[in-house]
Amino acid sequence: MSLIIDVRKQLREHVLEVALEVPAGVTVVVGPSGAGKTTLLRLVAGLLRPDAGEIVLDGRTLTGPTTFVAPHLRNVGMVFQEYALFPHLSVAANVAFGLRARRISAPERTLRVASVLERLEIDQLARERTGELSGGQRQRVALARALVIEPETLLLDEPLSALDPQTRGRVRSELQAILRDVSVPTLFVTHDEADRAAFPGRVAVFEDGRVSGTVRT
Amino acid sequence: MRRISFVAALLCLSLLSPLPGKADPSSLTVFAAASLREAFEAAAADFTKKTGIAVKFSFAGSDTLEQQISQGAPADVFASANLTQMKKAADAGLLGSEPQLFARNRLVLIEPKTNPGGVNAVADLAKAGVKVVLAAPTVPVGGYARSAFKKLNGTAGYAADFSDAVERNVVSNELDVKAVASKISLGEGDAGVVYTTDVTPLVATSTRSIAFPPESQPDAEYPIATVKATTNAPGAQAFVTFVLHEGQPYLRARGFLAP
Amino acid sequence: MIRAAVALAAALLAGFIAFPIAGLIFHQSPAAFVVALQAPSAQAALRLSLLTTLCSLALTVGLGTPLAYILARRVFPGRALVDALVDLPIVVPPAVAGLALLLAFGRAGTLGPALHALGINLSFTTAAVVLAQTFVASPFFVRAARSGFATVDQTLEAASATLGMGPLRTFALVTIPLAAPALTGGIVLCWARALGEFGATIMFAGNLSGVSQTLPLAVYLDLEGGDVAGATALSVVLIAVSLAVVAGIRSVERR
Repeated sequence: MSLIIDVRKQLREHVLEVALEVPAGVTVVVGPSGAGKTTLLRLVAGLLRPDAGEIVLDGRTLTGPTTFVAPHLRNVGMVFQEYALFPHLSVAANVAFGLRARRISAPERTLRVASVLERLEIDQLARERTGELSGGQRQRVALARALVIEPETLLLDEPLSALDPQTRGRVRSELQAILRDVSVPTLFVTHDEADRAAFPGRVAVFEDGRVSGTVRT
Repeated sequence: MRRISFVAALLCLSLLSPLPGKADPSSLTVFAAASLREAFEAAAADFTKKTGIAVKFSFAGSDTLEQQISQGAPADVFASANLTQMKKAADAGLLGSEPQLFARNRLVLIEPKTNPGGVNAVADLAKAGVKVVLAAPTVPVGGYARSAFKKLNGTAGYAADFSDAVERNVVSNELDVKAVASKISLGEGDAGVVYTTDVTPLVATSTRSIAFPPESQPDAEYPIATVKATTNAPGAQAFVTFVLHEGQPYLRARGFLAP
Repeated sequence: MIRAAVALAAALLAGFIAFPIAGLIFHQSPAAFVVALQAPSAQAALRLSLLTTLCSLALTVGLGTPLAYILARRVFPGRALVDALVDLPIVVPPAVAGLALLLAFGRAGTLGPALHALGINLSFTTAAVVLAQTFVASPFFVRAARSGFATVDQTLEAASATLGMGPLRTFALVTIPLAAPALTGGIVLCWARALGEFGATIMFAGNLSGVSQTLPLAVYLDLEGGDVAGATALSVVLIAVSLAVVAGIRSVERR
């Protein structure tokens, strides 16, 4: 169970170089704004192509010199910075979206969605429109949506930065608890040092656009 | 109630349009049948030189013009391509003078130069698949054409239902004779009926003409009259007189017959 | 003082628009209206307008949606030109559009011989009506759709992809619903323009009841022929439809 990233990409002002082996569990990737954190996740998700290199998940090459697997075939779960919840769908429909993509039957979808909503303690929001939710609630919906599809890797793009400071601390603890049960390679990308402390274990730090290996805190 | 709001509508419209009803001795508006375009434009140039009165034209199907005049359009003179429309105007009390005939015209069949429909005589219009372009029945030339076809029914070389067969071949009812001429000039349609005066040098470059049997030619008579609501009665009368006398050469030059 | 002047100006313009329309609607009794509408030529015009506008709408949406999407999302050489071309039919006078179509697709037009060789003859056909309508009305849809697609948050489409929806399903389940208000507005405007099309139709397709005589042509011909009752009745139908269209746009915009 591992995610191997070995890529290079020219960004606006510097070159992004990543050499990471991400084992099961949470790896925090820390770096300042503009370092290329979101780009890194988009590369893993297949939303971008690198200039060179490869990305291998559980032995399967997703991005390589002769291979490129389209994003919808990669089985990654991604939580976007502003959560990217579908405004025209209810919370339940949002969370069910990935299951629909996998052509899971409606009854089965209902079961799985109910289960994950309960686990994240937002089952009472099932019928709500996403526009009326608080920041913390939206974050949990985004997480539920990514988790319910049982992805092979989880990508979290600054999941707490869209929250106001008061909420952030509480949600961080909740996130810790939820992610404790996740057993796939998980990249938690952030610029906030407080997040690093919340997930002791594996941390990778950006330095001049380069992030490699892991540094134990 | 209905008439009141209708009249109110027209009143409002007329309030907001440039004030009519102001006599302007130096200009005239002439509503004339589309087929008169070239002849009248040339005649008007001469008229303006002689009298100093500028002439503005509105050329269209005579039925359209009659409708417009009856709805209050600002015409000083009305020149129609048939007696029917002039009579309509007279019956509605729209005229300011007795209509007088000033020209006659004849019909001619025209087709694209390449003869795509294989039409070589008027009788061929009844052949299956021939695309005939006419003016709408209420436009004078459209009415004349149809009466010409009827006249040919049962005569030598024409079936008894010739006019019905031709009507079945009609693919378009154009709004005026010039539209018919344009369509045929552009190669659309296999044949169309226009006046001989519409076969101008320009039209002749892209079309072939076929004469109608003389006995089928309708009495295409053109009357002219002043409009009662004219704002330039002397000028209108002067134009009518001009058309009836000094203007005749201009009509003759373009193929119109004497009245 | 100024407020009174502003109110007067507003009332004048509103009245200017309302009075002729009201006059038209009240010109004949409902009974006369129904009788006039039952005339065969009126029925033919109604049916033809309905049929042709639905066809041109289908053609516009079918071909215009991909075009609008590409214009909204992809940068390619000549894009500005295509953008301008798409908008052109809006400013071109309908008669000019009709002539252009005739010179391009008419029997003696540029593509005439080629079409003829394929056994296709467009002149004086209902197909020509549909083409004329599509030519003048499609820009309204493409513009609206282009704008709609451009404003859809592409991160949502990215999220859809990461969740496993392929490009077509993402388009159908995310892009279209989010662009729906703009698309709907575009469809409504496009249809209304097609319904009212006159100049290009009579130029390119001619005027024959049941084949090319759409509602606007029928109104004009009725009037020309002195059938004011028929013309009025059909005009009222057109106005009623236009009112419904305007109301429809407003309600969609409000959502």
